[in-house]
Parts: sequence; C-alpha cells; structure tokens
Amino acid sequence: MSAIGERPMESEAIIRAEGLAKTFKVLRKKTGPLAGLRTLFSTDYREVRAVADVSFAVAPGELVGYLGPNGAGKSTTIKMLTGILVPSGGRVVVDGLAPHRERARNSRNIGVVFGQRSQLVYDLPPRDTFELLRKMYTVPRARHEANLARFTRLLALDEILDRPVRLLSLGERMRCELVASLLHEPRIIYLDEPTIGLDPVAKETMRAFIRELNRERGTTILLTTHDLTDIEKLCKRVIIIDKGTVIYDGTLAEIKRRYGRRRTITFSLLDGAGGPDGGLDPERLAGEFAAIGDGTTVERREDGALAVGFDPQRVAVPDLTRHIVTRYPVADLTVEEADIEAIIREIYGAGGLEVADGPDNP
Amino acid sequence: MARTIPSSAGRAGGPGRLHELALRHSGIAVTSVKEKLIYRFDFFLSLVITLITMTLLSFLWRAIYRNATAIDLPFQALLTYICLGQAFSFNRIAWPQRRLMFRVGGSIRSGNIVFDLLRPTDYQAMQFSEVLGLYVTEMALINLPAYLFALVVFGISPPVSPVAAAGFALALVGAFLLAFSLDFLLSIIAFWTFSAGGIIYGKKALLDLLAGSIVPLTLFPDWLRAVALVLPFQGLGYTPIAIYLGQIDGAAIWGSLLVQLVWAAALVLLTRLVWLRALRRLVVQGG
Ligand SMILES: Nc1ncnc2c1ncn2[C@@H]1O[C@H](COP(=O)(O)OP(=O)(O)O)[C@@H](O)[C@H]1O
Ligand SMILES: [Mg+2]
Repeated sequence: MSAIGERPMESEAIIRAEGLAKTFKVLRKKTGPLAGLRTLFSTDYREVRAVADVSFAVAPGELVGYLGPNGAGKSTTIKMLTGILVPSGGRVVVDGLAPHRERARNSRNIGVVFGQRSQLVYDLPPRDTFELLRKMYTVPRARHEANLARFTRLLALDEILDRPVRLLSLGERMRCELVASLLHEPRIIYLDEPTIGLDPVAKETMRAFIRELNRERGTTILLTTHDLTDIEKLCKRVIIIDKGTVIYDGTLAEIKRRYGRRRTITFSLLDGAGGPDGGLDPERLAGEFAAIGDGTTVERREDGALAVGFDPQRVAVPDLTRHIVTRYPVADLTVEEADIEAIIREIYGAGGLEVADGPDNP
Repeated sequence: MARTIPSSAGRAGGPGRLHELALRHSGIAVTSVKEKLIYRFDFFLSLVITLITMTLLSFLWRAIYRNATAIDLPFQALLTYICLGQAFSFNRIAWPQRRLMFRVGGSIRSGNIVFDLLRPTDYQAMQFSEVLGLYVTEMALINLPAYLFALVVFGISPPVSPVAAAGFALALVGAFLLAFSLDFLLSIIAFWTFSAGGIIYGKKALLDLLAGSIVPLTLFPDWLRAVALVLPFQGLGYTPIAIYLGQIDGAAIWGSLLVQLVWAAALVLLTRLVWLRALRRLVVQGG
C-alpha cells in the first residue's frame, strides 16, 4: 500500500503486532426454565471474531491514529497491546515485552485512557487518585509534584483537582483521566476514544494537550477514534481497520486525497412545506443539483431530512448552500465532513479491497 | 526524541522492593478508607446498630436466665460473650463486608477492572489492602467504641489474663483473614450468579448461626456444635471470644489459633485458585 517508506523499520519499532487475532467465546443464552443456572454450566459457545488479522509497527515518538467504525476491533486491539487480553493468534511486542506474559512490567511502560471507562476514584477528588498512582508506581514526590503542576497548567485543572470526581463534567473528568494515565511517565500512551462525547471546546483542549505530549516529550501515542477531526488535527499516519482487519495503513494526506473529499449537506424543510409527501423528491433534486456540479447524490434520511453528498472540489460549498436556502423553506441545514463511516464505505465502494470473511482461524 | 525511563520505575531490589510494596499498599488502604469516610454517617449508623443489637441481646438473655436454671454458663460470662460477639463482629453488613461484593463484580461488569489489571501489582493483593484498611477503620470507629460501651454500661469482664488478651488479638487477625477470603470467594460467586444482595444476606444468616457469636457454641445442641466446630466459621466469632473468656486456655489457645490459621490458609489458597481461574477467563475470554 502507500507510504511504505514512512513505516518504521522492524528493528526500531516500539509497538509491533503481527497477524494479531482475537476470537471471543460467548455463551449462548439459554431460555426456558432455570435459564440462568443452565447458562452457567453451558458449554454451548458462539464465536465472535473481534480481531481477525492485524499487523502494524509503530516507531518511537510516532502519533498514530487507529480508526474504524464501531465494533471494528479497535478496543480489542488496544487491550491486547496492554496485556489485559491474551491474543488468540499472532504476536505482539511492546517495548521488547510480550504484554500478556509480562503484564506488570509492561504496565510501567504504558499509560491508557479508555474513553468510556474511568480509573478515578469516584467519590474522591482527582488529587487523591493521583496520589495513589504516585505510590502505586513509586514516583518520587518532587517529580510527581512537578508533573502534576505542568499538567495542571496545560489542562487548566486548578478548579478541578480538589472537587470529587462525581461532580465533574465529562470534559473535566476526561482531562483528569488523561493525567492519571501519564503520572508514571510512560513512554507509550494508548488513548481509546478519549474525545468521545465531548463538546468541541473540550475536544480541542484534549487535542492540544495530546499534540504537546507527543512533540515535547516524544511520547509514542496510539489514538483510537471514530472522529475524523481528531485524526486530522493530530496524526500524520492512520491505520484503518474494519471487521478486525487492517484495510489501510498510510498517511492521512493520502487517504484524504483518495477517499475523504466528499462532504454532505443535510437539510430539512419547515413544517408543511415541500409537497404532497411532506418533502421533495430526491431524484428530481439530484437532477437539479447536478446542474451546479458533477457527482452530487441526494438521499432521504430516516428522519425525513435530505442529505446531499458532493465533492467540494467540483461543487463549492457556498454555491450549493445558497442554492438550497434561496429555493426552499429550510428549517435546518448542516454541512458535514465525510465521517469515517462514509470513507470506509467509499474504500469498499472503490472495490480495491476484499471485505469477505478471511481465512477461518481454528 | 525518546526520553529515558525514570529511574524510579521498578528498579530497586531487596529492601527497596519492600519499601515499594509498603508504600503501594498503604496508599491503596488509605485511599479506600478516605473514600469510605465520605460516608461517615454509615460508620456512625453501624455503631448505633451494633449498640442496639447488643442491648437487645442482653435483655433477651437476661430474660432467659431468669427462667432457666439448667444453663451451666454464668450470666456474667454469657453477657461478656454476647457483647464481644457484637463489638468485634465480622458479620455486619457494613463497608468492610460490602466492599468486595460491590467492587469485584461491579468492576468486572462495568469493565473498569481493566485499570486494576493494568497496575504493577496483584489484583487480589490490592483488594486485600483495601479491605484491611476498612477493617482497621471499623476497629477504630465501631469495634473499640462498642467494646468500651459494653465495659462501662454493661460491666462486661476484661480478658481473663494477659495471655488471653494477646490470644484474642491474634485470633482477630486470623478472623480477618478468614473474613477476607470468604468475602472474596463470595464476591466472585456473586459475579457469576448476578445475586450480590442475596449472597450478602444469606452469608449473614449462616454466619450469625455458625460463627457462634449470638448463641455461644457451648449452648448448641451436640450435633450442631459438632458441625460448627468442624467448619471454619467458628474462627470468626467463637474462637477469639472463647480465648478472651478463658473457655479456651493454656495450650488449647495455640491449638485453636492453629486451626483458625490452617483454615485461613486453606481459604486464602482456595480464593487464590478461584481468582486465577476467573482472571484467566477475563483475559482469555474477555469477561
Ligand atoms: N468481551 C467480549 N466478549 C464478546 N465479544 C466482544 C467482547 N469485547 C468485544 N466484543 C465484540 O468484538 C467486536 C469488536 O469490539 P471492539 O474491539 O470493542 O470494537 P471497537 O472498539 O472498534 O468499537 C464487537 O463486535 C464486540 O461486540
Ligand atoms: Mg472501542
């Protein structure tokens, strides 16, 4: 694929995954009388292949985006890299260690944030969790204080440090989660959806901090997200996975050039406007918009809004927007970047990649 | 670009390692205590409930003694026994006992256990320190005040001898080991069966009987006493109290401490095996 030259040489990689696979065995739920008890002793398993075949290498100091739609296998990969899940196939080496065999040693080299989980003690202020972590990793007090002071400044934590975690907003909490993952000065950070659910300002704070961490400290960062903006603002290199398989590994510039150009304008009409079936006919509209530029598509969403897909190099956003608002009684209009789901749909649409189930793992 | 790792990270051996361990586990214990002291009222309530139960039981036994002539245990000894059973109970439904039930199952279910598994220390050892911290707190905030109350208000007897006092203290340590292992075991069972509440109350009912802290084992029917004496639960109530009262004395103290210790060791081992199995399932199957 592209950007082979930018990939780290095998020898200098700090994270290396080779043919990594993970199959979960999930008990089939029993139904009928005593279902719970029978499930407990059941051996009737269903296999879920979360990660099918993932290989990549990350060099020290890289900041790599790990993208994929929900359920693609991102978190499962991260868990194998941290050592809390044993791979069912393939090999992982992180800073010279096999994480699942040397979990405790590996844990000193890595910091982890899981966007949907928390490592902060819920009823206490973050400062107490931080102090616990200092003792847990035996960080000298002076060093701990210096780090905490720096993080406090960069992430504006003064107001938050002494307030119980349960009273913090999601954005405030995530900033503290980030700090908690960094206090033992790990060389590698895994950030699993650190911006999920945050408002734009909070997202921006997180991003600025992550960027600074990577640039100033040379910390190696693997960032999982399905927010393309995170990737755009932070990562040169992205690895995209879908259905547990790597479908792209290269630069962001390349992927955008190849797939990520399209935008979508979504709009809905004022109540009562727009004709017999409560809206306009997408096909007629497609013809109309094609006159402004090639390659526009129109579809009706489930909520009744109309989604116009277009290529901003062929259709200027202001032209299309102006056209819509001057001709139709618009109630609501948004311009969206192609999100990762759309890009992946396009990558498949291009037909260059096999989507079919890979070879069966025993 | 890449920095050097801080020299503090897991480098020291020998005494440095021990110091690391002490620092880490005191940190864990202190944090769990701090966390639960937010619920100060809970501790206060536990104390009040303990005092009320103690008072109730003493009334009850007083009434029984007024009408019964065949009990060969002097009332003063019985009163002391009952009050100690309440003051040094390992069978309350308070933070030290509830902690594991909520924590182990809860964090597996919520997935937050990933962070515990990522710490450079053993999960079970971490839980041990947390619960130890809570038991020490309970000792200071509930057990000792309740004991003083019983001494002053009910006039219960002091330990029969300095040896009995020391034996009592040692037996409390053994009882803690038993209580921790039992709760850890039950919390894993609770996770697999989704019935923490039921298990907490079931355990309480069973232990109220078999620990012999509400009705002394010596007053049980022969067959039930025989059953209770071959089970480990006597170590949670009967053993320390009987040593305090001199019902077990001399060389027998060592014997009963040994029995308690063997049971504690067996249970610690059993919990360890169950936990390692649960852990395997977690890291292999993902929950
Ligand atoms: N512990 C588990 N047991 C069974 N299936 C799981 C488990 N964890 C994840 N999965 C499944 O594996 C797939 C990948 O999940 P995940 O790695 O969390 O995806 P992502 O993080 O990319 O959204 C999903 O289909 C998910 O339902
Ligand atoms: Mg995920």
